[in-house]
Amino acid sequence: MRLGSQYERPQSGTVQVNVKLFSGFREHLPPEARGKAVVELPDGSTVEQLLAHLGIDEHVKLLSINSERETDWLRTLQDRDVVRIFPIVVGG
Amino acid sequence: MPYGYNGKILHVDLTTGKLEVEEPGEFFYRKYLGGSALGMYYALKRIPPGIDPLGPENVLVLSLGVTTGAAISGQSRVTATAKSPLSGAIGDAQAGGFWPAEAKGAGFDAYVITGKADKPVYLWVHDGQAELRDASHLWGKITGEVQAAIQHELGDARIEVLQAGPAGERGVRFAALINMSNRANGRTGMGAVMGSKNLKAIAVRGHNRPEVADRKALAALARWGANYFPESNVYSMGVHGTADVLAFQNESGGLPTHNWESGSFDGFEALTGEVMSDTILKERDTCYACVVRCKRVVETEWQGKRVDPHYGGPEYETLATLGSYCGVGDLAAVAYANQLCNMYGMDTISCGATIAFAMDCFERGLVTTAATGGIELKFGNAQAMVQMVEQIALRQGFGDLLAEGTGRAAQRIGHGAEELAVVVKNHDLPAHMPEVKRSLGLIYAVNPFGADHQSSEHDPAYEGDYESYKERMESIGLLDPQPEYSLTPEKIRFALYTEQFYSMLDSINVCQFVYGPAWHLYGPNQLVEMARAVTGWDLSLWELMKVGERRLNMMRAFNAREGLTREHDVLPPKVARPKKGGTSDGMFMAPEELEQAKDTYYAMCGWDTQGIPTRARLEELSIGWVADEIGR
Repeated sequence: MRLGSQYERPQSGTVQVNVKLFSGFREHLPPEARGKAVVELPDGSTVEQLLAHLGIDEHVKLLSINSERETDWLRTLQDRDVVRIFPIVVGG
Repeated sequence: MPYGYNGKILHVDLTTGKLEVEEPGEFFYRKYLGGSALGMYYALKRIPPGIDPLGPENVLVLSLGVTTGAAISGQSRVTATAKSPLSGAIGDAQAGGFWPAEAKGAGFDAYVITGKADKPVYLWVHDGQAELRDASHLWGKITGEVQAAIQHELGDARIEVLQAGPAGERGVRFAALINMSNRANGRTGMGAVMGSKNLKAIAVRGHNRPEVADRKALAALARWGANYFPESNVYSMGVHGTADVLAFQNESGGLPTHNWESGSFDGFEALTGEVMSDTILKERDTCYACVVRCKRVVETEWQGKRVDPHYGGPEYETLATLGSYCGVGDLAAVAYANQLCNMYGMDTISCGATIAFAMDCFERGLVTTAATGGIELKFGNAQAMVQMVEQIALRQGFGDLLAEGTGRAAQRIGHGAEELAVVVKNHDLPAHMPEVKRSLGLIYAVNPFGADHQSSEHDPAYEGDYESYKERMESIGLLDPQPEYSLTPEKIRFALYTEQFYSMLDSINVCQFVYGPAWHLYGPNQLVEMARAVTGWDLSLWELMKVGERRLNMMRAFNAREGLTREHDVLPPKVARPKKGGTSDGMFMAPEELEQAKDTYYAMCGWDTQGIPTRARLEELSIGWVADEIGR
């Protein structure tokens, strides 16, 4: 599993997922990443495995894949999926 | 005199120039507490029915709370109450900053302002003394200049100034009151009321705040809040401002876009709180004694024009109304427009929403360049958005019509423009959508001063987020969370209880990000502890909630006296239309669903089928005199 800032030529047997973390979840990535990373995972990896990889064990309020809300964390991620992940955010 | 109060209310008759001090006594204070409930007492007693809100008969009440100025987060708030020139219903708006705490030390708990001065004046209040001074030289000036001029001429840079800007002077119906040049009693046109009275500003300075009953208990609560803050739900709001919520709003399909055609905005990523932190944020600012520091101070340029940190920075609501509502995904443009609103003294919500409405009309051919003076008022045109903000503030060109507010502009434009007006009681909807928050839709409809997002807890707290706040919600009897997007009787009970809770918060007069029934820094029982520590009264949550109910019932009675009934408690047609795109694609809230919910809600409130409080209900709240006022 690797973390980068942009897509690279994928190694065989892997997928690269574009991850965007918001609000307090940004702290799961280095500050210079500003909440964005390309994550390389083994083929067949699930949302749950992505969360574990990112170290997110707090309550996830909302997660979307390619701008569609996703609640099935056993869903298999596809190469170049865009995954946005939100904690509970308040106020406004 | 009870702890926490000055025990004095200043009555200002601008017509005669007479200033009088009232000392109401402990019974009065315990019944009406302060803030909005206290303001409502004077609004009902002093504002004759049917008057022109911009005439001398209107009464503007500025009221502090019992806890204002105490050394704990979230207490420095001021409420403005008057008949609203936007809606004709009761008007009500809160602001934070340092003005409220300073005003508390200046010696009065509230200002009740009547009449109209024959030339511009400002009120100078310091250490129990008050005087009206000439403001002719300040008339027409922007907020930053007025603040500096008053501080200079009175010789004290620590004087705090609350004022009506040039927009308020010109009767822009959604003009705000501005303090510190960047905090607003934003909604319902309170700045226009102050401007109509030829009252430019209220400058305050005070060295002695009222005694607190139990300093140790208050200090312990303050320490607890400071220690808990980093792990609290409001921590991230402190880091990224209220705009921390913007990306989530978009992703959940609840970010109003293109005048409520959609709940998702393609350009949202440029407007998020996180991006603001990464780019134009200069520093975080605070209100007096608050650890959250959610206020933004930004510095940038837009088209060669400076965005000056003196005027603060945009809130979530502002980024939505001047941004996504108008299809403008340009952070610098929104920051500049926000600055204009603070300089001229306008509510950013109604200002942005009114421009978005005009853009919608333009896109549909109901308004053309002949009317706009050549401005291509299309969604996404940042230049046009900024031009309109300036035109509205100065009542120039097409802006003169929009300064009347969305509802009146829609009537004038005609040809179906009314269908595009996203208002309740002529009050523009803020940036949270009933389509994805059903109980909020009910509160938007029934709230006495029009659609408001700070008058109840939002649905997610009684849906999927409930487990995170279970203990606090249980403490106000909310035990049974409901399905997403539902509007069951149990959800209506949630809406009502939290509406009463938020009404209480506005009457203790504290910040609704710091105190509340769910995700806030302090929960309900801590709020009671705080109020007890300040007042020394043996207060309970029950007694405080009753003050919240009292306020809401007084407001509904005020509206009833103005002829408002059930038919005014309706959502705009756009909310009933399926949204386009994003995660709320196809979602809407039907009028029938609202009407059914209103039946249940009115009955739960003890009101009649028209939504008017009964005499028995008012007597139960110990305000039978209100029933006399409305002929019940």
